[in-house]
Parts: sequence; C-alpha cells; structure tokens
Amino acid sequence: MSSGDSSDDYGVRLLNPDGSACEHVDFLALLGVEGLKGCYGAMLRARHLDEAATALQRQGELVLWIPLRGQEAAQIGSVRAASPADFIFPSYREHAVAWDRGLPAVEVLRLLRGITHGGWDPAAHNLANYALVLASQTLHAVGYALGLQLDAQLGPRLDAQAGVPGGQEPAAVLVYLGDGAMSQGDANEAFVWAASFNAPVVFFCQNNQWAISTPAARQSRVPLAARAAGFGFPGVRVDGNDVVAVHSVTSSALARARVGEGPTLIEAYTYRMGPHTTSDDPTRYQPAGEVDHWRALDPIDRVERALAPVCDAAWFGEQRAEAEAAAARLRTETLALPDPPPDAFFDEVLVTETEEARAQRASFREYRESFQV
Amino acid sequence: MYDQFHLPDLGEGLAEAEIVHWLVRPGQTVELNQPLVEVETAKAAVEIPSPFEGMVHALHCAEGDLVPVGSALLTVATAEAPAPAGTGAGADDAPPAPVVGHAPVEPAGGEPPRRRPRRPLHQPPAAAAAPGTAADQLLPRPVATASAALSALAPLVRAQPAPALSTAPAANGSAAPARARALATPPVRKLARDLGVDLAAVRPTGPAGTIARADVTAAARLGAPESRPDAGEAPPQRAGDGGAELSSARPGERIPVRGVARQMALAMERSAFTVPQATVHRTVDVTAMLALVARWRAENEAAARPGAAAAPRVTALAFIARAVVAALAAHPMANARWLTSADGSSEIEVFAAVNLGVAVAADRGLIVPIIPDAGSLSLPALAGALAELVAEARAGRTPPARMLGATITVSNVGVFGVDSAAGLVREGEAALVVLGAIRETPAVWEGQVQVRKVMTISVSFDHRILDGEAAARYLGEIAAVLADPPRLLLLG
Repeated sequence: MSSGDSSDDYGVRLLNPDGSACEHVDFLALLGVEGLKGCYGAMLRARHLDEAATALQRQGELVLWIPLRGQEAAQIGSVRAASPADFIFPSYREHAVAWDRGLPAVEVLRLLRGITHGGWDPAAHNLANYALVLASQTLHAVGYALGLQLDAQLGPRLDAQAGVPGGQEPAAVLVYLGDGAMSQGDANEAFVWAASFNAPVVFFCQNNQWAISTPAARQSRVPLAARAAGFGFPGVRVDGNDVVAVHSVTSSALARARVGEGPTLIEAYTYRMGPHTTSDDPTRYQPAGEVDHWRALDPIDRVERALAPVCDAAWFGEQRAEAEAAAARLRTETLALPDPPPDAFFDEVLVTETEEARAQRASFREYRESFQV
Repeated sequence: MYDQFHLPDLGEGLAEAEIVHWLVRPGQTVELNQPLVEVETAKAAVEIPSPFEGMVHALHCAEGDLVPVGSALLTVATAEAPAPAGTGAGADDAPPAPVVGHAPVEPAGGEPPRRRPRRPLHQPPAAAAAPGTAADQLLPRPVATASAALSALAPLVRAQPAPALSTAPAANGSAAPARARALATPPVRKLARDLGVDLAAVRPTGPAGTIARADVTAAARLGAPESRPDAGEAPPQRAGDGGAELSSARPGERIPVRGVARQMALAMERSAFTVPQATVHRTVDVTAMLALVARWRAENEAAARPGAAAAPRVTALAFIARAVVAALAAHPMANARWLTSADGSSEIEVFAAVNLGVAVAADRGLIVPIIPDAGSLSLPALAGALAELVAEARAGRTPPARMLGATITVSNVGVFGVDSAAGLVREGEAALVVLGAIRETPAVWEGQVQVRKVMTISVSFDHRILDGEAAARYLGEIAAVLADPPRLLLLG
C-alpha cells in the first residue's frame, strides 16, 4: 500500500480481518451477538442498495451517484452509536447512515436524480440534508451543538415558561466529513469553535485514503486524528473497516459529548473501494494492488467470518435475500419517482406564502403556459 | 416487446462515448444489471449494466464507434415479447433495424449473428473500399525534387486561397446595416424554431419592440423568406436551429473523428482560436544549395565501400532544417512559447533547447514527431535523425514520447505541389516554418534572367511573441543561408 500517512497503523481494532476478536477484548460483550448481526444486515443492505444505485446511474436514471463501497462499517458502526435524540450532519456519501437512520432508501436518490434540491425533512430523523459544499456541514454541526448547549442551560426555564414538560434527553451532534474536507478552512474553523465552547460534537472523519485523486498522505504529515491535539480535544484513529471498533469508539465519544466533556475527532481509517463518484475513473490514479490490499480487509467479510460460528447458512441466505429485495425495491421506486411540478420551489421556500410570492407564482405559471401553442 | 437502451449521460454533461467492447452478443440472454458494454467517455472507462432482462435482439453500434449521448445502444427483446411467429405483430412491436443483430424470427441455431465488417479507423468509407491507404490516394507523386525523399511530409496548413476564389463578403454600398438581435421571449423563440420562422425577418408588434406569438404565426403563414427585408442574403441555417429538420435533402454520411485525426483537429482548433497569428512569406533562390547537396551525394556514393555502413545522406530538407535550427541562435524568440497563468498574467518562455517538430503524413493521420535537441546536431547527424524519424512515422512506430515537446515545427507542403501556405502555429510554440515546392522558374540572376530553382518559405508566428519584423528577420536569416550555403558557417 502506498497511500496513507502510516500504512500499518489502522488504529483501534477489536475485530481482526480474519473475523477473530483481538485477544484482549471480548467484542461480543460490547455490541452483543444480536448487535453484530444487526450491523451485518445493515452493511449488506447498504452494499446492495449502493450497487443498485450505481447501476441506475449507468443506465441514465441518476445524474450522479456517490458510491460508499468499502465504507459500510465506518458508517453503520458510527450511526448505530447515535441515539435518536442525537442530531446527525452527513456529508454526501453517508447513504448507509441515512438509510440506517430510517430514511427510505429512495429519498437519498431523489437528490441525485436531480428532482429535489434537498431531499428530506431534517427533523424527521434528526438527520440534516447532504452538504455538497465540502466541510460546510462541520460549521452547521458546531452551531447546532452550541444550540444544544443553550437548550440544556435555558431549556428548563423556557419549558416552564411555555408550560411544557421539560427533562429532555441529553443529546450530542455527530458530523461526518472526509479526509479531503479535513484540509478545508471550514473544518478547521469548526474545530476551533467546538474547542472554544466545548461543544457537544463528534467529528467523524472517514479517511478513505483518497480526496478524489489526492492521496491522504499528501494532505497530512501526521495521522489526521493527531490534528485534534492541536485544537485541544481528543483524536482517535479507529479501524474504519471494523464495525465493532467503530461502534465502540463512537459510542464513547458521543457519551463524552452528552455529559459536557466536549468534542472528539474520530478518524475512521478505511478505503473507498470504488470511484469518488460515477464521474470518476480511479484506475487513473490508484496504484496497482491497492484495491486488492483493501479487499482483503473488506468490512462485511470480516463480520461474516466472525458470525460464521454462531449463524448458519440459512441465516446468511436470508440476509442476502433481504438485501437483494431492498435493492430491487429501490430500483422500482426510483423509476416511479415523479418529476416535481415546475413551480414546486414556491412550496418549499416559504412556510407561509406572501402576497409577492403569490404574484410571482402566478406570473411564472402564465409564462409557462405561454409555451403552449 | 422490444426495449431499446440509449446511451445515457454518464458523467454530468458528457456529449459522447466511445464503444470500447461489447460484453454481450445478439441472441444472448441478459439479466438485469448484467454488464452490457464497456464504454469510454472523456472522464472514465465504465461498464454499462443492463436496465432490462431478456434476449439481446440487436446491437446498434460497433466497437470503436464514437456515439453521442442519446444514441440507441442495443435492443433487447424483453420477457413480454410476443411469440416470434411474425404474425399480428403491431407496428409498435416491430424491432428497430439492427446494425449488428439477427431477426427474432430466425429459429435458434439458424443464421449466426453477422457483424458489420470493421472499417479501419480514421479512414473514410470510400477510401476503405479502394486498395491502398487514404493517404496514398490523396498524395500526388511528387516531382523529382531534392526533397522527394521526404514525400511523406505533410501540410500543417490551410492552403492560401487564390484571390479569385476569395469568399470574403463584398463590401459594396448596398450591404444591409448590422441589425440588432430580434427581441422575443423564449417561448416565442421556440415557436419560431418549431415553425421554421427566422425571427430576424418578423415584424415585431409586441411591447417594447418584442416579437409576439401572433407575429410568428403570421410570418409562418406568409412564408418567412418573402418577408425578409434583404432578400439578397441567403437565409441562415444555423446548426440546431431547425434548419436540418426542415431540409428534405438526404443527409450525407457522417464520418467519426477519432484517434490521431481527432487529436489533430482539436490541436488545430485550439491554435486557430487561441493563438493570434500571422504569416510572412519569402521566395528564395536555392540553386546553389541544391547543387551543393547534389555534389555531396555524388561524393558520398563514390566514397561508399561495399559492406561499410553508408553515411547519412544530406538532403535538401536536412539542409533547410539545419538552417531553420541554426538561425534560432540569433532569433531565440522564435523558439519560445506563450504562457498564461490562472490569474491572467502572461509570460514568454524561451526554450533552452530546440526540439524540432516535423509534420509527417502517416497512414493514421498527420503526426508531428520531434528531433530532440536538434540544435546540438551536426548537419549529417540531423540528416540521419530526419531519415529515421520519417521511416518510423511511416511504419507507425513513432514512440509516444517522440510526439510531444516540439518547440518549433517544420512542414513541407512542397511535396504536394503547393507553392506556399499560411500554416497554423501549434499551441505551445512560437513559429511554424512551411516549405513550398522547389520549382524551376525564370529569375533574375546576376543581372540576367535565367532558369533558377526557387522556393517559397513561410513563417507563421504567434503574434504575442514575435511581431512582423522579428518574424521577417528570422525568415530572412534562413533565406540568406539557403541562397548562399556557406553562410551556414556564420550561424549558431
């Protein structure tokens, strides 16, 4: 392997690539067999949905797709560490996060089919819309985390004034970014701001080794996790292809955040086993053999090996069938998505339509109708 | 039922893709998402998965085709296809004509799938049918000039049109004054396009001088050409403006442009539209130079011993190439390039060495292999390098590394019988030297009219780097050496 700042340091690891537990940890005690089985099903489903979406793009049904192949453990392990009250800010590759959070699979594809500017109601699953502007979501996340702090301080008083029952569950913010976004000004401002106010935020950086075609090693002379020390909060590298380790590390970081111990940077050391997007050709820049190296570290195979002693072939078959069915459903639902009416944006900007907006809508309709002969 | 699959835009705004390799054949059963074909776009090489399940009925493009987005790729007979009895099939069910395929009524194991015979790339169909290569057909056998040995050298030029053929618009007094663009809203523009009405010919009655829908329909009823105020001018036929749809003429054959030909086209387009350039010409008496070259050749042949390797033959072209290179010592700006930074600032880079590009017409198109560091080569060494370069290019063996990095280029159009030409300076170079044909011509020699051998040499130049005077001085230096060969000793 020729990329990455230190090739043999995969960070915290609880499950070895061969599926065995690291000797000093009883991994099943941390997540439980049922928890691990759940992760397996979710990762498998994410991979099948991702493949279906890639095929849809190649068939002209999506403008673009952003494959997540290889990053299933980083996404499922981390999102499963978040509570329903935690608020999640994804970047743009976090499909497994969105799907596991309960968002219907097809909702993510609407954006990439070009029929919506956003996609979903962020409040429905405490999941913000995708941020296509690199690292912008880190600032949104820190802002939201500061809001949570204010809520915690002022909440009881406001609740009393409003006459509603208080005692909300403590929550934190989980924000996703990539190794490329770590070089953005926004990300670094977010780190400074989070540290200054001890904000309840976990920065979850999926280091997939490639910022499009720029290797992570060129972007950082130190492991990305080590940068956190400079901002004054803990940074941890975790084996991003080890769902157990990711879940464990993220759980503990979110727990710290919820009790007021401040931000954490997690670097999930993983690999993008495909193109940056469907418009990219990674064979032009990835060194030969790199993909093979990481294929041997596949996050799903690893869990399959770990579960082999406790699950039979029928169970694995069921999981595959469910994942395939979800992919087939996604395909059917995507092809059935209606195009939005041309004036849909009048419905999506203002909660209450103003007189001016009403006039603009009428004028726009008239203009549209003037195309009819 | 037949489903046709059209090439999608695979990468956010791509216009076309090249069919690299079909992964299925007609008659083959395909599953959903089974890879069908490998295509290469400007961004990436990708496999396209099948959107249908069924049997491949026909492939509509061949490997190597460059197809626009939206073109039919293949037709698949999907599961709901009617029984292949051929009876009662509605018009909607009629399969589209295949380029490569077989009829569904063929029983299994019948006629094997036929493939369209592959045409060699970069070759128009007419030439493909005839023996020999396109280049052979096009190149007249050069007259026996001293440069005949380099008959493969090709033009990097657009030939200068003869004045009689000039198509420049006549500047007569009756020319219509430039009209402002007609004002109309997009829906009205679309209507005009649909109806084939030229908006410039429509009398506007809408607010603020705009053309209303009714104006367009009225113009369509009247017939747009009659209403044109300046009927002497042909109606414009802009691409994509509906003219093509209205035309009843049969479409001509479209020849895909790929590979070397495409590279050349793009390079010339960049040169024509990014480099402000001009050309100076000079006619020179090369009788003495040719006599010298002929004498050397005779001496060389006389001195050749059987079994010994022959010394490289110094040809007229080698001598001219040496003069072109040697004259750069005193005119370094002709061996330079223009650089524009992202911030808009500009610099001129004067190259430290001379990599001489030589335009060669190879079978696969015009290529410009280089002689690296040509300035360091003696005349015989340069002659040897030229001979080798041409042999390699003709055999199609030019290594890719030898196609890049020219700092100045020579193109010999004389082999085509052309007297002079204003060539296009290649991007990244300051000058192109074009050599015309050497002809026996009555010329004034030492005060008397004599039959002399003369040729015209042209220097096209990037006018940002060289001005007319500088180019003329450089050309003059070359011409002086060719007229009086011993002057070569004074150069470099």
